[in-house]
Amino acid sequence: MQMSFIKKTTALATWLMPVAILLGLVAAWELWVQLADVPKWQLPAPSEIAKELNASSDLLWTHTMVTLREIVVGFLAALIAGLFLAGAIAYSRVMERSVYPIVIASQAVPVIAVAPLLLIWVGYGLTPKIIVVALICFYPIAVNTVDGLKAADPDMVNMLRTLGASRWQVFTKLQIPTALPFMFSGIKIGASVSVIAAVIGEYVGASEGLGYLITYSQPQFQTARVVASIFILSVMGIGLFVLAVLAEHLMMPWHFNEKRSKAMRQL
Amino acid sequence: MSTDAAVRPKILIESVSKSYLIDGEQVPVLEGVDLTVNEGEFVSIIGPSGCGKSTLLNIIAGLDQPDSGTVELSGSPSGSMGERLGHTGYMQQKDLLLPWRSVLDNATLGLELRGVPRRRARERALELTDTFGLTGFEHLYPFALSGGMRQRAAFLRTILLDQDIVLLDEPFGALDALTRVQMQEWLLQLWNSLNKTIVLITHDVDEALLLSDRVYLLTARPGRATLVLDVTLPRPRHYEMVTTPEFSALKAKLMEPLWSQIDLSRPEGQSA
Repeated sequence: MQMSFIKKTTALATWLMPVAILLGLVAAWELWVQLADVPKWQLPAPSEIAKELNASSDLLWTHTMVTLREIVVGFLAALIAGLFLAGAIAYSRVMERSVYPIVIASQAVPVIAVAPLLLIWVGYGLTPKIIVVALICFYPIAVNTVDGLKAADPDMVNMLRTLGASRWQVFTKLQIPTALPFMFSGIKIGASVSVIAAVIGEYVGASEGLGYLITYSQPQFQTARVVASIFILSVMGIGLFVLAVLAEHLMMPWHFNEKRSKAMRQL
Repeated sequence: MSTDAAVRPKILIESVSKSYLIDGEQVPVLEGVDLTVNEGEFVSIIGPSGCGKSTLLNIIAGLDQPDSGTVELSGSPSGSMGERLGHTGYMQQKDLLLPWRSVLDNATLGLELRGVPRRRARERALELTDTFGLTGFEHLYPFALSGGMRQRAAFLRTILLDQDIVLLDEPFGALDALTRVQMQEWLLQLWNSLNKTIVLITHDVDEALLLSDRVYLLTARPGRATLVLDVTLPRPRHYEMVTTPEFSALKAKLMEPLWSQIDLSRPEGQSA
């Protein structure tokens, strides 16, 4: 009874507080634009943006789908490549010595500077954007997963060996489950930056997508459309993050139950 | 000594020495340790911190290799670690239960690694859950269990592989005093029915005497077996025996050399 009360109030507090703050900020914005009579092309009021979202919904929807496709395909490519390479690096000493330093060094290459080159190399379509998304998402997923695969408790490894486990069995029964929380940290970071990556890819040269729509609308002072696009991009980023968190809870219920029970014991 | 495997000791350790490189210095951990455990015997190893007790068990289990000396399991000399690995049941102070597996799935881990079909493995585990006091908790995750229950789940995992030799490294060390006594009583009864050869490492003199047929006393680093004490107490044993005069006499024999090992001027943890 008391437990559930505590649970409810904390759940309420965690959701209510940020939502209330956000609503307050939006209200202040609306009020400021109305009272100070800020011109629409400079800063459109939230109501103006909502109007734009409604009026141009078809246009926005078309470009949203393009950007979303770039993000999903690029992210999945990064996920598959990242997990595969992380597994190989954690399992094989040779891979760790030869490939891992290159993976780490690759992060120093500014993808934003490489993006225009991709236009020259692979053309103007969706492919260069997908590659930019994949390049940016790959790193956090790969590096976090490698760390996770190596985080297994040495005592647990020994326990498995005394039970007669092979190297491969230690990898699948212990190292992979140990790596899951780390992997999801990488996936959550990847999901958050994937939207930025897609916009970068479109900025350097595109004919469709929300990033393109922003660069196209801005010189025409269609500021409401620019902000509406940014709003959709943000929602997309949050949506992807929430999806990652959902997948995390589905795949590791034990992890969250354990955390919750520890927190409860401390109450 | 006879060459007939049937009468050879289950575990035979002869003049085993081991040293580790610590801060660029070779530190001897075990020096010329002899240990004999016959089939079905319960033997305890007791000694101060840092006497290499765990190293000795690691060597028997095949997790470590001695610098010199021989280790023989079940009558066959095992030169390499690989020959011993997977031939003993080994349980440590930490329960080392996998947090993402239920009690039942943790218990069947060893069978699973050997390719025993999941259903058969579960059936075998379920036959023993009652004995191990885990009935009704089979499907819970480890975090939801008490310390004693976690240790029993880890013990079930160890026993299910049905190894003749079971090595216990301070299995009750992390439990509170009352739970520890309960677990000792439980282990006494269990051992009677299991017919296993058990080597137990402990800090606890009462525990060693109550459970064992024989107690080996190891000295502080480097560990050397200085005293072997036959525990002449009758079986079946019960915890109430710890107050009997016979028990006290045995305890005195063990305590005296143990106390002389301990440097009272230095708190534990600073030594060596």
